[in-house]
Amino acid sequence: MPTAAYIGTTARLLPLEWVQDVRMTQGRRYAVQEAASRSWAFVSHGAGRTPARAWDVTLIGSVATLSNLEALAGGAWGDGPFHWIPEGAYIANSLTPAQSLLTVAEGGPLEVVGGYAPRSALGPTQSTLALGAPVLPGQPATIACDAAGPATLRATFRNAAGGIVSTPTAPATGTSMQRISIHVPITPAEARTVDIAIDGHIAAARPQVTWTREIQPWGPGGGSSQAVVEDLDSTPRHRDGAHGLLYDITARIQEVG
Amino acid sequence: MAQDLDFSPGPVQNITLNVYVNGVLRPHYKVSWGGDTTGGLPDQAVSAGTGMRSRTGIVHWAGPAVETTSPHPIRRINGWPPREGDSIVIEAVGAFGTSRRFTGRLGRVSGSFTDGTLTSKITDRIADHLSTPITIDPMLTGARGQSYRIAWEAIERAGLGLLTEAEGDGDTILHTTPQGDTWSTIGGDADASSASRHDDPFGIETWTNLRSDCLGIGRGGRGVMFIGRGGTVGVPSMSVRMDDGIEFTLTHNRPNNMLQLRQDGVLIREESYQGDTEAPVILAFALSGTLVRLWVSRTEKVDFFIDAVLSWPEEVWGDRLAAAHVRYVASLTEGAEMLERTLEYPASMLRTTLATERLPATRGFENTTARQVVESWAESTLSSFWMDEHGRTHLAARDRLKSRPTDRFVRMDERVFSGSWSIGDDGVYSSVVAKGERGIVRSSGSRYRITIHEETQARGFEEDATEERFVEAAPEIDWGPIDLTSYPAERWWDTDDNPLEGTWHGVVVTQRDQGIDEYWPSIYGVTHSLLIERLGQRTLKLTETIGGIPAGEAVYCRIPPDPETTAIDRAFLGRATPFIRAQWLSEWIDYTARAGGGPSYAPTLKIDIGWWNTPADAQKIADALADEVATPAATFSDTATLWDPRRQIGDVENWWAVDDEGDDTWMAQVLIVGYSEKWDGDVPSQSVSTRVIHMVDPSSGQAYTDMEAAYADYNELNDYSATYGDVYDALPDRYTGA
Repeated sequence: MPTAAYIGTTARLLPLEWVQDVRMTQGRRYAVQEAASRSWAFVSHGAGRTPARAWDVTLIGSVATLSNLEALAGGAWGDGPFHWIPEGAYIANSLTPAQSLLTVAEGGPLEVVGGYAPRSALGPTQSTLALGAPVLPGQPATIACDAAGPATLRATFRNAAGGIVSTPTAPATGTSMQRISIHVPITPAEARTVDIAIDGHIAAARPQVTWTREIQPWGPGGGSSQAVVEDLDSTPRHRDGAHGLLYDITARIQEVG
Repeated sequence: MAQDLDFSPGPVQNITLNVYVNGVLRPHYKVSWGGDTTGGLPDQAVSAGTGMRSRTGIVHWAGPAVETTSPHPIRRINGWPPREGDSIVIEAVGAFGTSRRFTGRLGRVSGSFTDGTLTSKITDRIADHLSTPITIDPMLTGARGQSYRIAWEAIERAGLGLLTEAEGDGDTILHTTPQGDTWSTIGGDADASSASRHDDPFGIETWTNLRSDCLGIGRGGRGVMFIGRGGTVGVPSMSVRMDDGIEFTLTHNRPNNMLQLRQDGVLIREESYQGDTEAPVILAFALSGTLVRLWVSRTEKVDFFIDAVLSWPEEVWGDRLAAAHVRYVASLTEGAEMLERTLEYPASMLRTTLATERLPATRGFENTTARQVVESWAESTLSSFWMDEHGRTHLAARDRLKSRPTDRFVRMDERVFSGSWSIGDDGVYSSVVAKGERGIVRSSGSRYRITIHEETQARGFEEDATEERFVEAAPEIDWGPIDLTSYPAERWWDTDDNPLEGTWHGVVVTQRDQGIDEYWPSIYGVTHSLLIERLGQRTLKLTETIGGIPAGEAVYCRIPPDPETTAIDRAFLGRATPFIRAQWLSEWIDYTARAGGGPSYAPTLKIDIGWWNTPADAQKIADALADEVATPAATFSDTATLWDPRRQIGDVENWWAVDDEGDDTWMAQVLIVGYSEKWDGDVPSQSVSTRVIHMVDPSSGQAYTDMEAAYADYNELNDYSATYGDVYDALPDRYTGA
């Protein structure tokens, strides 16, 4: 199981070690206009779009971490935007919030194992639950989803050029509502992204991708596919015998789009 | 006014704003625009609202999430970046349905050098249309004699009228738009003796049985196209009688929305009408040999065949017909193009009730723009004009706007976010002085008997000469058609020509020093000719050529004082020549209408209402204006309100204020004269310019909830005469003891 936060393109995710503190703020979804005795709220983001999030990250980083962040902030890796998976998101759910909550799916609320999902995907024809979720080659990956009916969960690992690397599947046991999961102990070395789809289901919800060997309790997605690095500050800290020069680094990761 | 939508907003609204450029949806970041009118008041009297006629604004375009390059000024990919002239349509979609917010075109496009921002100016098209150059000749009026006919002429030529502009191209044999008067722009006489007129609720006039003659040009084997516009109520129809007696009638049967074409009373075709029935109906068909083409909308048609009708149209009339056009076409696609350029929704006019008297003639406009004509008319009737969110043109007089029923109620503590009232802001005037011109016409029908120019003294020539002179009409005079063929007065001897009619020139020959005997020029072989050219409406160029003067003789430009015979009327003896005659002449005399009533310390408001009204009507307008400007009126400024998709310029709203306990404190009936709107992504904000019509304190016992109930009844009435006063009187008496 990896221990860092990751940022970069799907072709290469760069590790950021060691994260001390991550504070996330979410943009406002409503713009409120106030009259003397009444206020009116206007939804400023349509369906399927969540307000932009920002993370204030504090880390103690080695030279390697600092140089990764400087390269990203300085444009050496391109203009962006980049994928950002904070530490903890790859344990809970590395998908974006919109992907994990299925905010544009056609089905309504669904009672799943241990809770309710606000939206679901309807079958039995194939529903695509997520496309292009980043994975770390050489690390474990678990893909999971709640579904009812005789469903088959399908994962398609793709390489950087979009070609298919492997397509593991997992069938449901019986037809009652259950959580189906695909376990990949070591993600293939060429794999960079995974597409998740399900077919044969009556309704499915709560997709999840974690970089763990075992299935984890479901959490809403914490990843972002459109982030840029701003406000990078670093201070040299001390020379550690084992790790060399260390820096106190703060950065702001801003979601755009 | 007021878009017809069901708008009952809850505490949370989810609205999407769609911006389409040339029909393609483009993402925006921010959009804002505004449009203002003066509500019909003269500019000097208004502080809320400006004279700006066009609705203009700016769009900030959104690009991809991370913009990598500054926008390219030359290279376009898939129509992006946008260019000036691209069409723009903005719509807001929400629980209320779809509200059109803007229709127009893009103006200037700007891209930043440093960041990726791209912005475009947006504007409606009214300024483009009204910049059409225009010349309207002075005219005698027809059966109705209303001056707004000239304003309609300008509107039609600007491309905003019921038909596309008439072209005197030799193919059109009838073009008539009888809005305010019955004469045809192209065509023969119009007979209104058994005609009746209707006011169509769309804002136009329709006529029944107004018989318009076509020009007598032969068909020459060409096809013939008929285009008419019918009203929006009743069963409109257009009828045409051919020279061999065959009659065609095209009717729009409103109850079942079918177009019916009849030949000599027999139904030959029925098709369902595909156009918009809330706009003046398009009645169009064409004949070409045995083919009949019937248009079921501006762009769709149906073809069928009958026995060939090769005769040509002589007379056109109709039932609730607002305009008609007949032309010969070499191919039917010509007619189709003309129909496509015709507006589905022409301009609509809410005419003033204050100016209704007939004028004897109208004055001309030469080499000016349509905007000058419409502005001049608007100033004279306290009207304003604007283009609404759909790109439809509205002209409305202030007295009509103020007396419209209320469109909606606005409870201020719930829906107004900011703003303030002030009293005494707008100019207060002690009196109104309206300067105008009154016309007197001298006409001799179709004969040239009105003298428009006569020399004051005889000019003399001792040698052969060619003289060029210019004669200008005095500023208060307009000339009708002038007889430009000048004959020598000598003809009176030999012919039955009437010296009282037509244009004449003449010289007499006499001995240089003595000058006793005078002779007609032909006796001495002196030649005299006069060439008259009309340069525009007000200038004539006279080129006089005198030749063959014998030595020792002189010629004088006059009729001999003592001719050898008495063939010449005594009145003409000795008169200087030439005399130039016309069919009619109008003289415009200044008058002033005054209305007072304001405080004596205030200045006088002077307005120029030109020739558009009679003195009696001008007095009514001055009185109405004085009523408004003589007392300080309340103005509401910088009022930001909850965005309302139904609100349009020209709406009447009742704004009422309540105190903490919910009791009504005051109520104002306001006219919306303009508003500006801003969208931050999908979040709207709106700020309105209003002019207060009435302001009331309900302490006399009636509450505004009662008002709302009373208005709910009155609102159903489509009656221009129901005023606020009528409704107020109809309110229940609060203290009934109940």
